Amino acid sequence: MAWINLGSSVPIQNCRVVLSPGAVFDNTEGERIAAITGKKRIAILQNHGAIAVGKLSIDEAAWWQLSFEFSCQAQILADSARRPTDPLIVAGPEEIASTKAEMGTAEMGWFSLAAYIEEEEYYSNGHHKL
Amino acid sequence: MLITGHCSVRDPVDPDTFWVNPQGKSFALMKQSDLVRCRISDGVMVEGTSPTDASASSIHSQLYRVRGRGGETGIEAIVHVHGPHSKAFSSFGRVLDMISQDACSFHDEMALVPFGGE
Repeated sequence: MAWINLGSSVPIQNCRVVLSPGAVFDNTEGERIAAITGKKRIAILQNHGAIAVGKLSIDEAAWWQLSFEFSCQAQILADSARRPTDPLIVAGPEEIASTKAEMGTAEMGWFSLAAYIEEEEYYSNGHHKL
Repeated sequence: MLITGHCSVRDPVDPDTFWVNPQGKSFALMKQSDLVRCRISDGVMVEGTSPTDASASSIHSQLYRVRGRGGETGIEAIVHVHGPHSKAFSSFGRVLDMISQDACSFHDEMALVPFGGE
């Protein structure tokens, strides 16, 4: 089974439930994640990765997963490159609210994936629809 | 290439079920006909022949069940893959700083889920 070590001590499972003895028919892990996630769109599963959900469509959920991955990459790059004397400049509350209102809707999530769908269609010659 | 993970969508005709990718199939080569359908109440597979695994049937089913449809919590789809950056970031125990426009879409939208449970 796939146990991967990041650094030396943090085990990461690819299939956490499958690997938990006796838990295959146990739905409590899903209930636990749902309860903690509440109404949010991203669940950050510690030592595992992220779950993204779509309120209206799978395109939306796929976009949040992709965009979250890219945003984690940007965060890691920024954290890695920042010099001790550099400030951490973050968006202000009003900028965050207006940007989220514009870019962070379920509809924009759906729309943002459209170009990726077009690309998928092109490279698979439409075979994914078969 | 990200080839592990599960993506699912609620069946719009029978919303008490959802479609999900089966076990052991490449995302890049996945076809519509490869998908299997599972019941939301208990995760049991009701359509399809390929095996699916418990991460899909148990976790996805309960997310759909608990969050329901419509309103503030409702969901129609779940996407989960193992991207290297989100995987690394998940070990920090924190959420994203609002350092980019894209990050703003995740403001107040990130929940930290500890490893394991009880």
